[in-house]
Amino acid sequence: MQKNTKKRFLILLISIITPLISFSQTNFTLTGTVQDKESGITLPNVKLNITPSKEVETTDSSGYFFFSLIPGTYQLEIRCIGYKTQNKTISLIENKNIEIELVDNTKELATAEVHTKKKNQVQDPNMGQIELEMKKIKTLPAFMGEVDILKTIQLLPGVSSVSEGGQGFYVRGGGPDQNLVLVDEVPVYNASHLFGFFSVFNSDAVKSGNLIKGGMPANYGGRMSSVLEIKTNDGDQQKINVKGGIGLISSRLTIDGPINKGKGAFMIAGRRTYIDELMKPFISSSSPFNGSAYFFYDLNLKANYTLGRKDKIFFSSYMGVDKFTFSNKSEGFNVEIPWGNKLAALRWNHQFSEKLVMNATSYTTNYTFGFGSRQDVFSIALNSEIHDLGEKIEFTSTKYINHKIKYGIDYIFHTFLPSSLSIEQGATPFNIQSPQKLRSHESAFYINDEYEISGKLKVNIGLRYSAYQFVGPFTRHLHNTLPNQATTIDYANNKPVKTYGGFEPRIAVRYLLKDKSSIKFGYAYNYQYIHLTSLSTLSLPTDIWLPSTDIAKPQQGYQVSLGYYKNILMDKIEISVEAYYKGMKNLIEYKPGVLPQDNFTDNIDNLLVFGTGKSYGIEFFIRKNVGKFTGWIGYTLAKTERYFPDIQATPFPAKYDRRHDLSIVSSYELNERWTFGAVFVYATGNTLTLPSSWYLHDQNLLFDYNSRNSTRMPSYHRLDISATRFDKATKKVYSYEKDDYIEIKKRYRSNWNFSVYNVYNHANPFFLYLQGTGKLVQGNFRLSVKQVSLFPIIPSVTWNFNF
Amino acid sequence: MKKFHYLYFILLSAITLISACQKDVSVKLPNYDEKLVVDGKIETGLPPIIFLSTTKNIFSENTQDAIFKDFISDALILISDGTTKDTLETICSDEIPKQFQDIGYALFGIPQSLMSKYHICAYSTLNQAFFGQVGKSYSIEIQYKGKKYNASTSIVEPTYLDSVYWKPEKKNKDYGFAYARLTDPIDKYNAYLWEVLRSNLDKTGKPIDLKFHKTGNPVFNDQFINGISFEFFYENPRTWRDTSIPEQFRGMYKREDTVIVKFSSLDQSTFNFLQKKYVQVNNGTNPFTIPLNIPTNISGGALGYFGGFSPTYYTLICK
Repeated sequence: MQKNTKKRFLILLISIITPLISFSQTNFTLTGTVQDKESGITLPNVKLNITPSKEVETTDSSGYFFFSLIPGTYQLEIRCIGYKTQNKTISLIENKNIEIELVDNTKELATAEVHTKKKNQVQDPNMGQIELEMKKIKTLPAFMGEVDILKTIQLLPGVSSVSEGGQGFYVRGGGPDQNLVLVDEVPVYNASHLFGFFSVFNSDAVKSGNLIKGGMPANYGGRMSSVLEIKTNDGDQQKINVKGGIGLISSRLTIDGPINKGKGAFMIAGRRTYIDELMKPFISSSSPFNGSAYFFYDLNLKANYTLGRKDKIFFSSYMGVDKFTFSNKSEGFNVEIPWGNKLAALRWNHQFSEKLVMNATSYTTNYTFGFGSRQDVFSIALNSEIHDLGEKIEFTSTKYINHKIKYGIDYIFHTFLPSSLSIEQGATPFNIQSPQKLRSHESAFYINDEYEISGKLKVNIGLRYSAYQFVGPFTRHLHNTLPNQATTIDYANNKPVKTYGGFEPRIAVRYLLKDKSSIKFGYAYNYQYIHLTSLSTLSLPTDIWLPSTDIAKPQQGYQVSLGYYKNILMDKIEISVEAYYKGMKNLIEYKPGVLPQDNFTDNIDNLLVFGTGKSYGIEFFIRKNVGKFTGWIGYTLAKTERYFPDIQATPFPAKYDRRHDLSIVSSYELNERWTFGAVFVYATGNTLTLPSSWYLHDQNLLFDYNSRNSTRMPSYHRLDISATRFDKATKKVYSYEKDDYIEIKKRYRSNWNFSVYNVYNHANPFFLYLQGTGKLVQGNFRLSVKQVSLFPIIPSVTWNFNF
Repeated sequence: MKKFHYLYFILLSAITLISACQKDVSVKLPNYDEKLVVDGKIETGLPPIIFLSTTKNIFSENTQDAIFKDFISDALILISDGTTKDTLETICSDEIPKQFQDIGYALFGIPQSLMSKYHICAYSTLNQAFFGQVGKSYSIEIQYKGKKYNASTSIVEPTYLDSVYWKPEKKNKDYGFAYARLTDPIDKYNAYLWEVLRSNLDKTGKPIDLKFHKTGNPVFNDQFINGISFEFFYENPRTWRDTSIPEQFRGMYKREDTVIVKFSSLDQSTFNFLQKKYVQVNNGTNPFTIPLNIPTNISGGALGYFGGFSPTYYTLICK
């Protein structure tokens, strides 16, 4: 955005906000929390409709809601997936705080809700937000038996996967680094296991996911494309529960229960793969895989405790480890490749009054990747690491009528170790420069107001100011210096090397056309102070995260979107069309010809080139919300380009540029015992760079590349199906009181999920490469393009239980 | 250096495993413009040798005729050492007398039986002023189809190996890799090329190898070893497909092999070319790397390289 344009926008923003928050009326607030009656777990994303004012609110992550209303008598309807809908009559003559307890009734409501759940899309001013409930995702087809919320997210319009089976995802043309993935408000840098085929989210530990792919509200920042919020289960405040599952490649177990009954709860969830143990008998001693092993495990721990009427604390943590090992004792050779995330957060929820709530969170998040190898006396070790220490304080105020104001501050201290290398031969260390840790401070403050101007017009307007400082200790390597000129610049500890900052205006406007339709406009400007770059065509754990430096400027981007939303057949079907345009600058790529070893002898940012990007598209989404048959169809028509003048003189397609992307997701509940699911996806093939010609040099066959991402892979399509068989919810027991058999709810429950991935066994492209056959001197040499596919038809079965 | 032999093997095996699910596909490749390719070198004590050819379409016809008739013999190449100039002459495969065809094989790299069939020409000179000398720079100008292409290179001071030796494997004392110890000079940039020739005689009384061969990754520089003394080892590039050798010992030298090691010092530009060339040769177009165009020192839009080499020679008897 041009400076003058931005200034004009800010003046406009301030002139809108100031009068909005300056007046108040003698309205009263209706606030409260919604929780599970049996367990005491607070319930986020519960929809509350109040009549006659026709306002709709949704509980936040703490189960908290509020209304600001004129005095009167109201009917409050509370609806949530898996719970009985409740109606309450409220007489509001003063500020009121109520607690609502919902009764679990999965069986009844499973037929009446959908897999994805959104705030009323017609009423809500925000664009491109979709919530997903884990309960329903579990009935969809599961890849290798692993239920995965990220796989479901990739079925939404505007979202595409990096590759077959891959966890990384692209949102509306942004890179995988431009998605802010939060687990209980803590950022996760690499949300995948097994080189990206499985996500770090244990399905039993996850309560819900919320994807914001349109313009994000001002309380989010640090990434340009999207926010994915994962909430983990809080735990049962009344009784101990155990649930788990045994799948094709892994098993999992979750225990949750009360801490001082009624006051708090805990949840512990663990998962481990057994690929290594299963494969052992099938690997012969002569196989190159003999001696190799791979596994991953992860652990989630969460606890919450109510300190009084106004205070509640939450503790949340995650640890996941992937490890590949190879050992050949006879050759004295071994390799070890571990990587994983660790994070922990402590959140304090305090209610100052019915109209002012605070959430303060302190967290740490860490991602490490290592590679170690030894052969005889020769050893090599390679490491990279990211460590963030963060603090967030957010206030939510309902002091002013028709306003929901959020304001707060964020702070992160980043420590990046992009790469370090050590090599030793016996007692002789190789001459490698000391690894440099890159440190920086990132902070932001924001204010966001969701304001209902009239019955038809509602805005969500916000302003975020973010600041960033890259600090020492740091050594800058200089190139092309004059003789006698220093070749390095050293910065002392905590000395500022470079400071950046800027305003990030955000606005979303909704205008109701009729009762069941609306149009919306959104605009968001974002700064992103971290980058991800790769020396591989595929996304791998070895990809390097890098903070902004004096050379690598912060990524900046804006998104403009316009949408039309309509509900038909009494809200049973939702239809939406959203168009967007996104502009990005200060994107990074490695310079042509850079090799991995160059990272260890220079500043990485000296090896980069910088460019811009743009993407635009239109998304169609139709979803059936209720009935035995539910699901959605999403279609995206889009184009994504990159322009790096130091790589190519003309713009080129991004590697994940897809013109067409179609997803059909459906679920059919035949009866109480059986639910069936099906997913079909079709997408234009990704782009890749293949050579345009070959030549000979010293009898070696070499290739010449002249155009980036100019070859397109064949299109991708796949059908998955599933069937879930539930056991009976009740059992008959003899009642001495009634002298007869009666039906009671079973404590122990289980279900079987049968899935078939890629039903018609289509060979989808994972990558293409050129293969030569024959010999040049014999004149039978041929080059051909080979397509490598990963996953054929894969049936799987998972047994789940809980008691 | 040959330290990651097994790791490469694992990665290649992994790629091979997933490559089992593969098929030919038809895709549109980028447009193709024919470019001149230069394959030239000059090394200490020897005349310059330059081959010229052109790039080819990925799906072009690759018959023997199509490939070998594509070498260029009608270009004009001028060479200069900064003070003197000369025009290079052509030495063509079909002009090599039969008794010198072994030497011709070392020069042209094609079977002796094909030498007379094709007119493959090397550009060179017998002017001893242009036999490579340490410390000198050489430049060439190629004139072909109305265009001019220029390149220059230099021959640096050689660095000598401290020692070369052979170490038998623990499992079988009849096989082992070739080892060497090097002390890298600390005060200057150094880059190296390792080549080998087995001079054992075969049953017909000829040496097993008629020319020097390069190993899988034959170049390294002092990026990580500047100023230190260290040991390294290399494989035998000629026995990877020798089925007479047990599989686990392929790529090793046999006891009693006599190996001539040619250890050349290179300037930075020549190293950059060779390093990236062998990265591409080893990686091909696999997706675990990013597409890599090999740098060139030929101006005017040609590909390839004209490089200077400063070799030292060692005899290694495997026992």
